[in-house]
Order: sequence, then structure tokens, then C-alpha cells
Amino acid sequence: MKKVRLASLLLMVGMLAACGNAEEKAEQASASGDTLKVITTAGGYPFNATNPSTNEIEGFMIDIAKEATKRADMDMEIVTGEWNSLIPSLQSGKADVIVDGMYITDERKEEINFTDPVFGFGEGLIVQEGDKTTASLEDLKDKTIGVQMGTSFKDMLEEQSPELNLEVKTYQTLADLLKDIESKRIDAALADKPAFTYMKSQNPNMTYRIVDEYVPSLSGEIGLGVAKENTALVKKLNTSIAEMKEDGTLTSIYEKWGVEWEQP
Amino acid sequence: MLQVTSINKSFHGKEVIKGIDLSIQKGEVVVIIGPSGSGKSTFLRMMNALEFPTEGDVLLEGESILYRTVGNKKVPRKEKELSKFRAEVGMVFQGFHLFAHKTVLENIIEGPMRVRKVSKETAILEAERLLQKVGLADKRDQYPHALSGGQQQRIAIARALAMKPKILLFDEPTSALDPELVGEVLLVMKELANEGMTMAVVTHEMGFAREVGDRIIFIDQGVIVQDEPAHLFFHINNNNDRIKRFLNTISRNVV
Amino acid sequence: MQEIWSNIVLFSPRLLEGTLITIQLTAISLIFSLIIGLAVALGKITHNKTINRICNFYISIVRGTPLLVQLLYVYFVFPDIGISLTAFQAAIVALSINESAYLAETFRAGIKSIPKGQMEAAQAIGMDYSLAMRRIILPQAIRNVIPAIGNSAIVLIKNSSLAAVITVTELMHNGNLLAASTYQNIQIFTMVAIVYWVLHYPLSLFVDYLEKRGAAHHVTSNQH
Repeated sequence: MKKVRLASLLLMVGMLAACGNAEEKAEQASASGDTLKVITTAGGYPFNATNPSTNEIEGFMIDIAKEATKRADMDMEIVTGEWNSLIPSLQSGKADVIVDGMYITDERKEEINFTDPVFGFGEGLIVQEGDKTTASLEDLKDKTIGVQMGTSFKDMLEEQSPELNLEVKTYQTLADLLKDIESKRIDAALADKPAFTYMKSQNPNMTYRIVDEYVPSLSGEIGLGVAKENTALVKKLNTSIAEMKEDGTLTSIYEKWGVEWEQP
Repeated sequence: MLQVTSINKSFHGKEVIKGIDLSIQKGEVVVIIGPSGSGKSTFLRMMNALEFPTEGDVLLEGESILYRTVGNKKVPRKEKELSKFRAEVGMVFQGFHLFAHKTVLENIIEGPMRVRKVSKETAILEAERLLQKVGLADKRDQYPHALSGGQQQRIAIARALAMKPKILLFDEPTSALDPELVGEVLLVMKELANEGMTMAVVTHEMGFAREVGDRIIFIDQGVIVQDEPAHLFFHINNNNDRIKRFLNTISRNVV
Repeated sequence: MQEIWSNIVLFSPRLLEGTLITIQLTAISLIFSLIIGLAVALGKITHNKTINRICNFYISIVRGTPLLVQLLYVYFVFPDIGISLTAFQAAIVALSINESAYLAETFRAGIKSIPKGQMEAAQAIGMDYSLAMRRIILPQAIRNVIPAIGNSAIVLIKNSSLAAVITVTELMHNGNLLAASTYQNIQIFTMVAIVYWVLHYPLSLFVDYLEKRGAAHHVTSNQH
């Protein structure tokens, strides 16, 4: 029995090792070759999302990444992963580039490299449709406000405006958040401005109001994420991005997706 | 045929068997009796190495079944070697222990086919002959759970016989049976004895012991109290107190 | 209603793609976990103390840590020790390992439930431990634990949804992606739930059937 067991264990290990080797070779090829492995959450329009009819992943970040890699004479292949898997995927060599609405922060720069910024945005405030008066957070004293999980809005609210005594509810997805605004379970919500602006433009009958006067306090810039050691790739992509800024390609991509950004 | 030489057996420091010697001749039927807890089952189970004695040895046709000699040292035999000897020593258990997932026929041919490497055809022919012998030819395709205890025990005997053992051990073969089923099993055992099978039987059936036994071994508190030919053992003049007391209990409670 | 139908048509291809991956994940992991689980169960009941200890340690580590972490480890940390797997392979490895620890306990309980007399009877006709295990003990033990294995398989189907975190495009992951792009969360996850239910249903019928049959068999075999 011992022999049988040992044999089956060895078989398993052997199979795994074989798979591993094959994969390792494939990966080396992709790193040195012409196809970049891009990872994204496909977390929503207009950044990056799966088109349910065509099954293609699209969005302005995808367009930017495609154009930048094309100009660097490379192809790209997209895989989708959850937010928490993005950075580990670069670090473990599972992917070459992160294409997502990921702010360039000092903490993240310790883990990975970023290209020059390709877009910037902040949070926006939305309220129930009937609410015509709210213009800032101060108008929401003692009310309930929703934020999306994985964002820093909750911390911001608790640190910057403790005197407002807001009740903060955290939601897994933007859709859940908007649903609760529409069904009046929460009074307001903070979320990435481009996301719900785009949604409202696509679905004019959605019942919430965007507070135009609201001044974001957590603005940031996003770039393409690249593994720490892969500085050559950062250089190549930065060259492409500079060109795209120069010749207006970037701006036309923004226009196509109805977003705006002025590089400061 | 089978010799037990000065064996001791302790469980967790408690001595159960305290130095027993026994020699069983070919064709002999040895009946082992004694009060419960006297160690007689343990003693029997050591004869096919289901229990390992703490000291002493068991010899089958002069060869130790428990140890092999390397140089001048005795080394306990490996599992595979033990199995080789067990195949030569049949055993019938109090609880029958038929293989629950196999039919009667499969129970009987399993050993010959897997251990003796006999061909399936030969094994089946022999199994059918044995089923005839124990009077259960019509049950060959039944599963054990569909049979009465007496029938199961007769199948268990057939299963042991299929290995063509040199000696057959019976560990209280009728103790788990309803009284009306005891007879059919004893009948099969008696036939075997008459055919000259070498047997060691632990039992409480004094009638069987008297009628079939060549020798009666009385064990109490881990030692052989008496080892006599059957006719002498049951002779009215046997006046060992312990045996008398035991025989009285038996006749009151069991028979 | 119209919109619901058109959404179903829109979402179905993607969800069915994911369903196929979920089925593959579950089926392949189940096979591997049965093999590993049985090996570990045998390792747990053997008399070799070292093997006992290794198997106990294995079970304790695997059962005592979240599947999510195991998935992340196999996918992201194994490359550091030279084992680089695709997401699908990593999911298979993690799910198999995770499931095997539970199945090992199931098998062990199954083997222990077989009366000692069966082993002794097998040894008495000259079978060694390994032959007796294979021919006598395991066939009975496995038959006894098939309903439990079925239940494990049902859990495994649903556990496979965690593979989404390491980028495996199984059912849940595809549901998440559709939800992110269309915001039709309720409808999408209802469809996802229905698919999981449909996947589990035949298994659950099978388990029910076996449990009934097993119960009937058990009553009769208790006679002796």
C-alpha cells in the first residue's frame, strides 16, 4: 500500500511539475516576446467593462492600453481578475500590465511601477432624485451615505467630517449602491465620478441626481501598472503615452467615452 | 502439526496467558474450554498470529510462524510471511465475519483466487463442492445478510476450508447463534472431524467436546489446568474443583 | 418582462461559458481530491507514526485555513518556489487539496466503520494488510461513504466559485463581470444562482437515492 501511495503522490507531483514547466516557458516567451498579458477587473464602464453582447472587454482605459502597446510594437491579451489579485498578478509574473482605475499612490509605488498618468478623476456626490437642495457634504448632517467597498471614501468621511455624524454604509458594487439610492434607503452616495456620470448618460431614466457643485477631496491620477523590475516596459509605454498626449489621440479616446481630464 | 511453546501474552502489563505449551497432532481434535476471560480465545488467536505472544513461539510443522532466524537471532516475520502461514491455518470466528459486500460464492473463492492464485473456474468448482458439503448449495448467489446465523457460520467454515488449511481453528463458533441453529453448525464440524481434519476448537458445547474431542484442554487464569483425553476428562472421577465448578455452571446456564 | 427576456438572451452565452469552466473545475478537482483524500486517509490509519503525523499535519493545515488563502497561495506564491501554474491549474490544485482534507476524514470514518472482524477474516485466509484493504475493507468503506462524497461534491461545486479571485473565468466570475458592466446585479446573480442549483440538483438526487438504499442495506446487515 505504501508503494501505491507513494507512486500516486509522485505522479501528482510530476504532473504538477510538468504543468509548471510548460507554463513557465510560455510565460518567459510572453515576457520577452510581443504579447503583453494585461489584467483588469473589467470593473465597470467607462473605464473597463465586459460588453455582454460581444464578450469583448472595452472602455477608455482599454483603448489607451491598446493604443500604447500598439505604438510600442506589441500586442496585448486581456485577462480579468478581482481587484485584490491585480498587484499580486504583476508580482508573481502572471500578468505584465494592470489596466484599471488604479490611483498612483506612494504605497502602491512601493509594490509596482506606474507609467505616467493617463487619466485623473475624483469622487462625485449623488443624492436622491427628489433632493434638490444638497450641494455639499455639510448639507447631509446626520444622514446616511453609501460608499463602495475598496475605496477610501469611508476613511475620508470619518476623518474629515466627524462632526457631520454621517452613517456610512459600504456596498460591494456600484449597482447595489445606486439601487439603494433609487429605493431611498440611503440619502446620498460617494463614488467614482466617471462611473456614475457615464451610467446616467447611458440610462437617462435612472432616478438619482448628481451634485454638480460638489468639490472632490480625493482626486487622483491613474497610470498603467507594471511590475517593479520591468523598467524597460515602463519606458516603452511612457514613450507611447507621451506621443498620444501630443497628437491628441488621448483626448479623442476621452471624447469617445464621454470623460474629461485636463492634465494639471 | 502445530506446537505452542511456552507462550506468554500481556495486554498493557497484565498477563493473560502465563506460559502455555501445547502440541496438536495431525488429525487430532483438541477442544479448549474454560471460564470466560480465561484467555482461551487469545490463546487460539495466537495460533494464526492474529495475536502476537509477548514470549514464546508457535510452530507449524516444525517451522516458527512468528519469527525467522537471521544468523542466530530471531526476527519477527514481516506481514507478507505471516500471511503465508495464516493461509495454512484456517479460522472460524464467533461472529462469522463473512465479507458483507460479496455473495456466498465470492466469499469462498476470494481466498483461493487472490491468495492461492487458483483460476476462477477451479475456485468455483471447489466452492460449489464445499457448499454442497455444508448443505447450502442453493445459497451460492445470496449475500450474507440474507442468511441466518447458522447458515452464515457454515459458509464461514466453507470459506476456511477452501484454502485447504492444514489445521482449522474455531473460536466459539456457536456462541453467537440462536440455540436452534447450533446443531447444524456442530454437525458440519463433526463431519470434518470424522474426515480427519486437524481442529482446535474453543467452545462451551460440552456435548460436542465429549463426542468429538480427542483431547480436552481446560484453561483458567491463563494456564492449562488440565489436558486429558476426552473420555478421561469427563470421567466421573475428575475431581478438580475448578473444573467441576465450571462444568456445573455450563450445564446450568448453557445446555 | 420583455427586458428580462432580452437580458437573459444577452447574458446566457457568457454565463454558460462560465458554467462549463465550473463543471470542469468541479469534476477534475473531485477526481484528484478523491485520490489524495484516500491516500491521506490510509496514511492516517497506518501504524507508521511518521506518516500519521504528516497526514494529520496536512489535514490540519488544509482544514484550518481558508480556501481563499489557499487559492491565492497556489496561484501567487508557488511561482516563488518554481511552480508556475495557469489560473485554471492553480484552481484545480487548490480545490483538490482543500477537498482532499475533508474527504480524507470521510474515508477514514468509512474505513473505521467497517467491523474489525472483516479485516481479521481477510487476514485469516492469508491476505496481507494491503490486499485485505483493497479487496475487503475499501470496497465496503467506499460504498458506505458515497453519500458523503456526493455531499462534498455539492459543496465543491459552490466552493469552485472562489476561483474567481485568481482570475479563473468560471460562472461566478463571469457573473461579476456582467454585473460590473450592466449593473443588472439582481437579475445576473439570480441566473447564476439558478445555474448552481441546476448543477447541484442531479447530485443531490443521487445522494438521496444512495442514502435510502444505504439505510435499507444497513438495517439488514445489522442482524449479525
